[in-house]
Formats: sequence, C-alpha cells, structure tokens
Amino acid sequence: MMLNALYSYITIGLVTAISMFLTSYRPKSEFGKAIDEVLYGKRSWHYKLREAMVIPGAIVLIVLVWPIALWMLAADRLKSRAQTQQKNPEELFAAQQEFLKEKLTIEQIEVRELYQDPLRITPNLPFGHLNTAWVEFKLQLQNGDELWSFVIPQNQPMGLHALPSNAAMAGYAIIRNKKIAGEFVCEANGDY
Amino acid sequence: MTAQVTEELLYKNQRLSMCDEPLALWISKNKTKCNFGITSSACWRGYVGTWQVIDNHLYLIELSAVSQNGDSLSLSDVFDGQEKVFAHWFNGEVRCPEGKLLNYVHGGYASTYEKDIFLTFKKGVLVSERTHVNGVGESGSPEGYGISAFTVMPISGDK
Repeated sequence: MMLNALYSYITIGLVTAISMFLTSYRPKSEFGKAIDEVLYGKRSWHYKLREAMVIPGAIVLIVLVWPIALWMLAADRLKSRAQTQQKNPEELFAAQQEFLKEKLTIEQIEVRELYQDPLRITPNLPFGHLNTAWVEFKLQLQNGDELWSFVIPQNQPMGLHALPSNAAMAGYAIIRNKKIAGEFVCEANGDY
Repeated sequence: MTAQVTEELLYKNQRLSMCDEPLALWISKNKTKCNFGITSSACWRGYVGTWQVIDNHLYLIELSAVSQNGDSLSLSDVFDGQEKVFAHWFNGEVRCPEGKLLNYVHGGYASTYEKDIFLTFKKGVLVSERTHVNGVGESGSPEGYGISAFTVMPISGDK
C-alpha cells in the first residue's frame, strides 16, 4: 500500500518535472553564448560541470517535492496575470496625453510631412524614407479614431521604464476612446 | 558590452568618428530589410554607416553590412538603389571624439578623448555645433577613436 503510494507520488513528480522542462526549457542562443564569452571569457571546467547539473538537479528536486513546485508555478502565473491586468496599455507608448499637440486629418499630416533636401533625392512621399512604415501604421486606424501630433521634449522620462528621451521626439498618435492606442514616431534619436 | 566601432562622418573636409547611430529609427521601422548578421562583438548593430553633412543636411552615403547568409550589403541594397539618403528622421546631438585617448572604457562609446565635437540636428538639418575640451592626453597615448579587443563571430553563411 505504502509502496503503491510512493510509486504514484514519484510518477506524478516525473510527469510534472518533464512537463515543466518541455514547456519552459529554451537552449542558449548563439548570441547569448557570444555575449557570455565576451563578458566572462572561456568558462572553467567546474563551471561547465555545475551548469550541466542544473537541469538534472532541478528535475530530481521537482520529482521529490512536486506539490511545492506546482504551488510555486501557480502562484507565479497568478501574479503575472494580475500584473498584466493592472498595466495601463498607454504606458507602452512613448507618447503620453500631456505631449499631444494637435488633432489632424490624414491629409493634413501627409501634406506637412513631405521633405525637401538639397540633392532632391528624398522620395516625394509622405514621411519620405519612412513611407512604408506610415502606410502600415495607417492600417491600424479604426472607425472613430483620431490622429494627434505629439512632441516629447528631450530628457523626458517615458515608457514603462521611465527612461529619459535622449533627444526631442515627434510623431503621431492614434486616439481611441480618449486613450492612446498607437503611435508613429517620425523624428527621434534611437529606435522607437 | 564591448567597445563599439563608430559610424563615420565627413564634415568640413574631416573624417570623424561618430559615437551615435542616426540610422536606428529607420531600421526599427524597416526590420525586414535590415536582417543584418552580427560578425563582431564590437559591432552589435551589424552595420557601419558613413555619413556626410552636405549643405547642412545629414546624408548617409555608404553602408557596410552583411546579411545573415553572409552576403555583403551596401547602401543601395538596403535603400532600393539609392546612392545617398537624407536622414530626415534624425533629431538629436551626435558626438565626434577627437585627439588623444584620455580614458579607455571597454563598453559602448564610453571612452573619452581630448575633444568632443557635438553637432545637433533637427529633422536631419544641422542646427548647431559646439566643441568641448575634455583635457590633454599624455604623450604616447593613442590618437583617435579605437577599440582594444573584440570577438569575431562566424555567421551561418561563412564558408
């Protein structure tokens, strides 16, 4: 009887451990390996041995105490779901309500965003070399949406991590139900 | 992060090292065209651009990159046959260090040199220039921007 219960416990533990491994294991990318080598050089044999023991060790541990592992997994999932629900979708954008300047139509924007240059080589299209991205951005527009220009001053904390902008940024935002639902940055120093 | 190779800037008949990446915004909006291979830890961005200020406008005039298959990519490959590209999207200040090395930092563009030339652009148009003197280098210090060490990485297309 006791032996049967032990076998059942270990079987459930094995299934749990293997399921967790299959759903969460990601092999280290080539980029990750290169970064590791740049930062730490060639790793010692005992480091490599310890690294190789992590996954088998974790599997053994989960088999032994799988109820705790399942409880930790469930608590983690609940916590991240709660955090996602709390997150304000507007925080994802560089543009915030306070930086909005002017409500404009697509036609008004496309006239003001034609660029001239001394060599006359910039495409004569709205947003010049960014035209393809602008056309894709317009596809996000829904009935009832508004387009507003925005300007973000230099050194303004912005985004989820409140990092300061390293130069003034400008662009256009989609306003849906009075909230920012999309943005197109067309002037900046960096990748936005 | 390893110290990074700079972009190059032709300005007032000088070839300057430029510690900024004005192409970043364009690349972020054209990711499918810019699937660059990473060949060195000294160039995580995967390309080196040469820029020129012509009539106070910032132009990209050369691009050197490789695709993830190992094929060489030039400016005209990435910008559909264009030979020069006006960077109308670029706002901000670029830093061009000059002179002897004062303090080497093996990360990003963090090393300091005797002098920094700062050029500020608004919509790709030069609006101001200033020079900042950081100090005087010791005799024997290396002259001009440099990197002490990096790792070369093969890409899948390397034969």
